[in-house]
Amino acid sequence: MGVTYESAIDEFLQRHRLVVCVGPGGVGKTTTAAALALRGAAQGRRALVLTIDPARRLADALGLDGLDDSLRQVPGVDGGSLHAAMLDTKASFDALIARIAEPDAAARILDNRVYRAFSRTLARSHAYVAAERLYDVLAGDEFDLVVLDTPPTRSALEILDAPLRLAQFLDEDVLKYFLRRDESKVSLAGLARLGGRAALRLLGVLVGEEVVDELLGFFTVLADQREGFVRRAEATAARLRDPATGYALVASTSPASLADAAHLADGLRAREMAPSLMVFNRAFVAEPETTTPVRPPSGPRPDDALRGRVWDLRAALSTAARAALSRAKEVAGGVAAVALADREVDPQSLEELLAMLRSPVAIQ
Amino acid sequence: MTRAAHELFRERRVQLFTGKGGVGKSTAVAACAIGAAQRGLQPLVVELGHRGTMQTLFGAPVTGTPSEVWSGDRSSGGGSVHAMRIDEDEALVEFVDARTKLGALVRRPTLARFFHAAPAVQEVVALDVLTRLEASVNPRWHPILVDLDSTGHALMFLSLPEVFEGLASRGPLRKMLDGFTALLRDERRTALHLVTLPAELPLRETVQLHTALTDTHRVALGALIVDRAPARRFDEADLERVSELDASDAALVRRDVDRHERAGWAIARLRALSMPTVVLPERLEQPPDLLALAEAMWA
Repeated sequence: MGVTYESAIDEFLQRHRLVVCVGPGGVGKTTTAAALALRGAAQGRRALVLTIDPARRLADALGLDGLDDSLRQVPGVDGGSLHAAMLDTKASFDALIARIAEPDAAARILDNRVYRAFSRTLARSHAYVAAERLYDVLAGDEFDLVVLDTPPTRSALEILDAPLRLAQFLDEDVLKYFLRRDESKVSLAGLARLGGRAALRLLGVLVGEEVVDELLGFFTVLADQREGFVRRAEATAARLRDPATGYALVASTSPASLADAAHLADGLRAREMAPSLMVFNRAFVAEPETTTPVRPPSGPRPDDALRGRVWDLRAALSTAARAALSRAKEVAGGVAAVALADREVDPQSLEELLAMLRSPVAIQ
Repeated sequence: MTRAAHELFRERRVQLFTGKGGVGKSTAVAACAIGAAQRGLQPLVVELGHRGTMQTLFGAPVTGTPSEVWSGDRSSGGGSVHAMRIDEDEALVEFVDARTKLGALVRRPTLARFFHAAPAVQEVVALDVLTRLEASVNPRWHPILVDLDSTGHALMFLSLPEVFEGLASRGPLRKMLDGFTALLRDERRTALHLVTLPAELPLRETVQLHTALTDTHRVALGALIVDRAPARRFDEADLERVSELDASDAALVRRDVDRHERAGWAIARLRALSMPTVVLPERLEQPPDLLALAEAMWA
């Protein structure tokens, strides 16, 4: 303990154009994503951080009056530049439809009840939107470092799966299953041929006839726009497996968080998206004014009441830190990993955000 | 009259736990289940998705069907905790089969791909599993403790009936959603517990969630569980003598006192929500002592 390890973070940032931060909830992932982007910017990169929630305090720390769907430049960044935006599911999904579909078709989709219901509230819609937004940002050359924040564990994998799933959802076979287009008219004849009648009956029984009508309408419009969707989805999916894309796993050192992190790391490896940096946030309580764990007490426990209690506190905190770092090491395996002190209060300025990644403790 | 938290843990059949990520939700669920088992109840822990958290906490495999993950020794009255996780794909086949006898159809690659990609499917089938667990008589699980992923996830679940409002007006889906809405609002059967930490951000999110739940969802609220409240280690007399210590020890003491004070302020704010409240002590020991936490929850 006591060794610092900033170079692991810098090497990781330098190797990648897209950095995806994944991890369990409540570990300061959004803040870490912003700190990584800011560090990149300070080293001369044109950086963008895409967050997933409005994170008012992060906006404050960045000197912005809020985070929303639009790209905003963070003022006062030395070196390169930093932009920030939040992924707003509803706004972006509508924007996505508007971008991809012909105006007529777009209007019909936006009006479709199935679309309206799905685009707002449900997790997967969010994943599709994040993937799409990413496509847009990476298609341009405005940024040479994009840091993507993701929702907690379960949904993180959803986001990464989203592009391919979207392509599957719009898979020709699937669409054919449900409708055979006869000019602009939906024909149910094709369904019988493909066994789709059973599928349709199934849906009708489950959700009611009118939903089926609405769903068919939705598919009909989408079928026309399929190519655009699928091309973008496949491009995004390829980008997520590109060597210039790096995965940073952010976790705390609580057993639940580490269990989630280990599970997530397995899921990422299975997708050929193995994490190449692990950041263990809030890993230990630091010795005041330092970034390293509280020192263990020296000598025997004093008899004096106050000094005895200080001794106890040091013993408890240093033991907990040692245990936390050893658990983190186990999860990290051979991957470059750093641990950060528990700050109690989130960074409130650019300076504090930069300081967050300064002199982390090496796990290896 | 406000009831004590342990009365809610004992009485309500379906107990949902939610809160911001990392606040100790799963630990609270596990501790609550152990406390229930020790009191002769037959608790079932339900985890959504493949997360592995319960498996880690109990040190026993958790699969798609209920299995025993903890049992008390005879001296403490025995009892056992079962746990399962909802496997989306299996649940979908069961969901379809129960209504149409067409489960096999869903297994066909084309349709399987479609359902895998469709947005609301996983939420709906999870709801279906919960509904069936609630209806199950043998074994009759009580309580059924559901570990919801996060606040966002919980709200999504709660708003599912609204998502389908005007969309599915008839059929089994509508019936199930109506049943779920009724269950959520039924103060005799259900409790939605909020888990949080005595710190500024979780506090703010909990207050917002509480407002959203009481204003729009009208869900049967349960207890407020405040996890990891720091102990008070130093008193006034200690503080007066702090200057006698060397600089780093003094800073350590001051920081510890500040931390305790900030937490105390947050707990006071949370108590103002007037929910039955359980405050659990901070623990430096890892993994958590579930037996001690069970005692604290059921006290």
